[in-house]
Amino acid sequence: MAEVDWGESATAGLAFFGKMSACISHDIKNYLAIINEKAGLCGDLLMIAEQKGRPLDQDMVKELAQNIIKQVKRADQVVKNLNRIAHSVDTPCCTVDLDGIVALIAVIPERLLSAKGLRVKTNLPTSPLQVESNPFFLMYIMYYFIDIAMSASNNGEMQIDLKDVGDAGKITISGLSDAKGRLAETMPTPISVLEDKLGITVDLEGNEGEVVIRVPKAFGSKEVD
Amino acid sequence: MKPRILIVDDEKEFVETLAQRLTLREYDVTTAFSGKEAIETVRGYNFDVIILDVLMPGMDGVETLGEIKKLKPLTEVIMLTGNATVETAVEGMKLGASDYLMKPCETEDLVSKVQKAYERKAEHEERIRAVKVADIMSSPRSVL
Repeated sequence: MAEVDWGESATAGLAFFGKMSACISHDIKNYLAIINEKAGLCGDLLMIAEQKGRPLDQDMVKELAQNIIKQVKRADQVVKNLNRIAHSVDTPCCTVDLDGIVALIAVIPERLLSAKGLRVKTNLPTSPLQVESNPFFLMYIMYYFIDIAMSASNNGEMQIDLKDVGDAGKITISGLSDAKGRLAETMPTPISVLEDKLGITVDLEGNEGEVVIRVPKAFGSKEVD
Repeated sequence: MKPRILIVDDEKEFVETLAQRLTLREYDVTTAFSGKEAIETVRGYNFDVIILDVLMPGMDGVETLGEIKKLKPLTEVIMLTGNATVETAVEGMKLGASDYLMKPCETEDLVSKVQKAYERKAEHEERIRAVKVADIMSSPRSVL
């Protein structure tokens, strides 16, 4: 495969990676804070038992230990998500489970979305939808529209639907009505560059507040149905 | 009287556990899980110190801080942030928060900041009382 020059998209991609990393590290710090307080409470209860002779509430200690395990699992999932994003830049083009990419980009910014009163629902195919593409920039493009929704709305619900349409995966992002002003602006250069490099198409001409992204199954091909 | 603390954070597990720990340390603790709930609680009750998370759904910590300071200007507010950087917490301090804590925080650090904030509020209230007393002494008829 020919060497791809990502140009301005690389800079925009780096900013996206920074934003996702900040979001993930914030989540991890929250889980660590819970673990810290749960472990601290265990210590407090033991100290009271030792120093004041109050019987140790074993059920409470057991519940605290179970909860610490639960928080570790939550944090581990967040770290796995970070790992997936980090490895998405390993190769410029590879076989990608598009459904996995959509699910990942809907879940990582959950805390940011929630702070804005927004929720993202996904509707994914039951079997994996594989395409040859660049997973990192696919996430970047989807996040670009999620970010627009966050900047425009203070509450509501977005939906991301993914369908297999033969030679492509069709991603429909809906619930962007509040962001129609931003959507009407000229698409930033990095997105246009990526349309060209990845062979994807971004269509804003359909229903109001809806964006359709077509990702060809073969890398760089720009065929229509 | 026990220092009256309000903890505000949308992470329920965090709030409830921290509340238990501060209660064991003889604080009178109340909890709220959103900025809106915190403001309703502050309307009906006087707190000495509020521990307030920065990033919450709906009304965020900085906005909540502004409302709290309008309602109860003397209440001390400590901002709590999950960010690794302190910009938002510093913004909160410019708007009247007295201190900040970064998650996860050391218990000694938290207790020390809460205690200092409590003492600062008590001193402030004492100074106001002294001014009022001096005012009454200089002009007893003003009471009437």
